Amino acid sequence: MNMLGLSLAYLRRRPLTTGLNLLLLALGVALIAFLLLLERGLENRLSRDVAGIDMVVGAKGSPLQLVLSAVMQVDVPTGNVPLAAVEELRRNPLVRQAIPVAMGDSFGTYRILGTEPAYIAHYGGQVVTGRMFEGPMEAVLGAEVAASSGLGLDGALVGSHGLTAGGEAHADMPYRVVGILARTGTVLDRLVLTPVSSVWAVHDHHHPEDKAPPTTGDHADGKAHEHGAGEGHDHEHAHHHDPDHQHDHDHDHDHDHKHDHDDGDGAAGQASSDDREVTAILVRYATPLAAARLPREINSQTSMQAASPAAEMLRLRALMGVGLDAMRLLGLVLVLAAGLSTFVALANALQERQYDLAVMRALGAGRGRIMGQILTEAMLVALAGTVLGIALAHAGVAALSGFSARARDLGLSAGQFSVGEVWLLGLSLLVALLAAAVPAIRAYRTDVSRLLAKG
Amino acid sequence: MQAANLIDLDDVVHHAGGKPILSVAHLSLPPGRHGLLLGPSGSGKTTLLHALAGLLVPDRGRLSLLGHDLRAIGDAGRDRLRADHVGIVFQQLHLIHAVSIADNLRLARGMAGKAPDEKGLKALLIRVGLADRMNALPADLSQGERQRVAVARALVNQPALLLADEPTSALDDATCDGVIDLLLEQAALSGATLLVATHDRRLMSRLPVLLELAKPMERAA
Repeated sequence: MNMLGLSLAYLRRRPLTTGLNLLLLALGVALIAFLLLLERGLENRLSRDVAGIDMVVGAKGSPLQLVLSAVMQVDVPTGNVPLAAVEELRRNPLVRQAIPVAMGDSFGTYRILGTEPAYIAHYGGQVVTGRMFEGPMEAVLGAEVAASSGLGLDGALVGSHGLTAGGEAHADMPYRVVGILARTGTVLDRLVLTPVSSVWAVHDHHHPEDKAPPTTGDHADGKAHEHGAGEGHDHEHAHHHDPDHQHDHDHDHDHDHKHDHDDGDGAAGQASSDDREVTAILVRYATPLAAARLPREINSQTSMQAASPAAEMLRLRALMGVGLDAMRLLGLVLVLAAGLSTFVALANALQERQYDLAVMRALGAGRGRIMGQILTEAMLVALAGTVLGIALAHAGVAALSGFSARARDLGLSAGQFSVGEVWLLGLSLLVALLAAAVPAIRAYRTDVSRLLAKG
Repeated sequence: MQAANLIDLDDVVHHAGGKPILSVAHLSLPPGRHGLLLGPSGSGKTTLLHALAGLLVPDRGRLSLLGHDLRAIGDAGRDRLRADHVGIVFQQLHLIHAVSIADNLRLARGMAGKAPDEKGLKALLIRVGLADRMNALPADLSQGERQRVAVARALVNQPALLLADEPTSALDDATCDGVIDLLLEQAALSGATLLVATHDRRLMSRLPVLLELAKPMERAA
């Protein structure tokens, strides 16, 4: 029998105390580890989705909202921009690539995105079944959409108005599935991709007076986005849409698109076949110099805004960081509480076992070995609690991925471990070491002779 | 170099709380000479046993075990010497109740830094008549069985010196005889020298008195 065996025997003799300490520590560790995994998944997703996109050009408004809507496909757009702006950007020598995106409808919980094949190529998407879309109302499905909908080639899907599920269905304008993409682990996986012309066609069919794609946010959340003046133009999308108002196919709901562009480019001021609009333009720079000039030029000289996905993601991380920090703090409090509980348990155990420790000294064990005995016991609890906590966190991730498509979107995998978890183990062991230090030192200093003489 | 005596002790004095609790002018114990340290409660018998085991260092005097000056060799040296050469049977036995009796013996080897010796351990348990109870917990044994475990544990590292502190106090005559028989028999089988600290004068018929201690007040008188 060695110290480890003896420590295990002592722990087994106090199942309730040991169990509670383990549980407390495991919960703290699980919370922190879960957040670590979640954060990493989120981080990876953000990185993958914004990779290679240097700038997003869209309607004036919140730049974070623009990036979230046009790149991450999670927020409502800020409005529309003229299609002409795409060509203008493409002519700019500072621009290597400009990809338009147009949205407004959804298929279940997935967005229908009007764009060009270049968008799919940008994310490394490959058509594994069928072909790339070529004409209006042809759709290529992301891997997640195809898997969850069960749609195959030549299947028909009907988009519904707005960017969240439950909008008015455009049953008379179905899309035909012509291709399915391989899984990329990017935003592509959860999109229905179609030419921009499809979005216009659906919108023209339902809103013949307006040549812009539906300014989707208003429909999606039932609120108007007001992009006010103050920058030399007035770009106002006022889609007054009463959320209680029933959508039906006679389109009697109140849509009021007003686009007043004072900058004189006339891109979308008046609805006509030449005044097509898109929701945003994803831009890749031709040269690093572009980063210094292009956003400033667009922001100051046009009715549009340019947002940097990298900068906005930093902002997003900072915003999310507060919440994550609070959760981490809670986890840390639990770990510290477990440390305190271990300290109390060890202090009590020391009182109960003072004769055992004295006998061990009498058997020839040095003071260091006695200290080691106490520390081993604390370390065992810390190790077991941490392993249990990490296992709980991974089980949590597995469960979450099992029932949440959004979690799967993050690429969360129960089988992946992070360096942070190793640090977590270090933290637990350190807390246990501190908790055991005082009892261990007391044991070290025990006057064995005096104790044994007492009986 | 082999020391002539197991124990050599001269002018040893020890205090506790400012009061003298042990005062011994001289004691020598050659190997194989079993004997008694006799004295009433409070006369310093346990303190002397602890000093001989290196569990405490007397305030003054010379004390050597197997030729090693216990004052000079430091804490670690005393621990090593005790692990290698001394076995102790405590008055309260102090078995470790969290583990089985076999593990009590294994632990004694482990704590002394010795390699496991399952064969020797089983032989020892057979000798004390507990081979069939080796996986029992101390709480499941009778007092007599526990006493035998305590003796086996003290002998598991084959010590040269077996110290027993009040092994027969509060026992009836028959049990008292049984315990001293056990100690003598096992010490003989292990080749250890038995030194029993006791106030029990019944043992004088079984072992020679090597040293009779008096209470400090009596000493002063």
